[in-house]
Amino acid sequence: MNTVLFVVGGALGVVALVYAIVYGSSSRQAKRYRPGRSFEFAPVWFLAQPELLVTGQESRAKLPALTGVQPAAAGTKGGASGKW
Amino acid sequence: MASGNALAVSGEEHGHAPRTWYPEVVDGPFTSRQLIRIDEALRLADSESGLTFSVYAGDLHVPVRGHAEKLHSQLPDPDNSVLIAVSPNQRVLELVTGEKVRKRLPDRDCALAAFSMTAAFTGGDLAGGIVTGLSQLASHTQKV
Repeated sequence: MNTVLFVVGGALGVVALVYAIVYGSSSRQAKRYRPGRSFEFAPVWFLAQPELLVTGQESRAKLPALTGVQPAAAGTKGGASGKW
Repeated sequence: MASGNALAVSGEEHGHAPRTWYPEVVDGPFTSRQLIRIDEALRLADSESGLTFSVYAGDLHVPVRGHAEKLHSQLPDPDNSVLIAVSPNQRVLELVTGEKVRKRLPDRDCALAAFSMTAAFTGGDLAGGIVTGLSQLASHTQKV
């Protein structure tokens, strides 16, 4: 009886372990962006020194007004555009 | 920043100010490893060029160029800043450079970087394309 429990229990344990590894990791990564799927995340903005924008009284005081900033006059900004 | 959509990850390593993580970013589209790569690329690009690079990932309102330029204008020093705006849903990439940056980083070099980035995006590598673009833009920026 103990032998049967040991063999069957061991096999079930291995199956449970593999199941947890496979589906546990995939559910965790499902929150990440996957190519071809819709981008359902809040916009993120990265800066090397974000404290310039999100900390400090001066920066905080400027934020509300900045929402009304108009684009610069044509020709002053450069860059490039791309599509894929 | 950006109408409350904020953002931002980064900070200094190796004895400087502690790294700051923001929930919006940690729960965002990138894995921790990708965030570290982007953070590293941003800091390298900033130190190498002396400019301020930033990366925006999210939807852009139409006209997308106007929205990207508006975001660029919200940076602390727009004239010396570069914004990489990526909208995966619209499959659009916008590179915006400030007036002073434009003299050191011509639009032609931006277009080359945009080609490299869109190639990576086509292959499904969002973070890789961003890192590649940052590296390419920083290396093409002429020294003062």
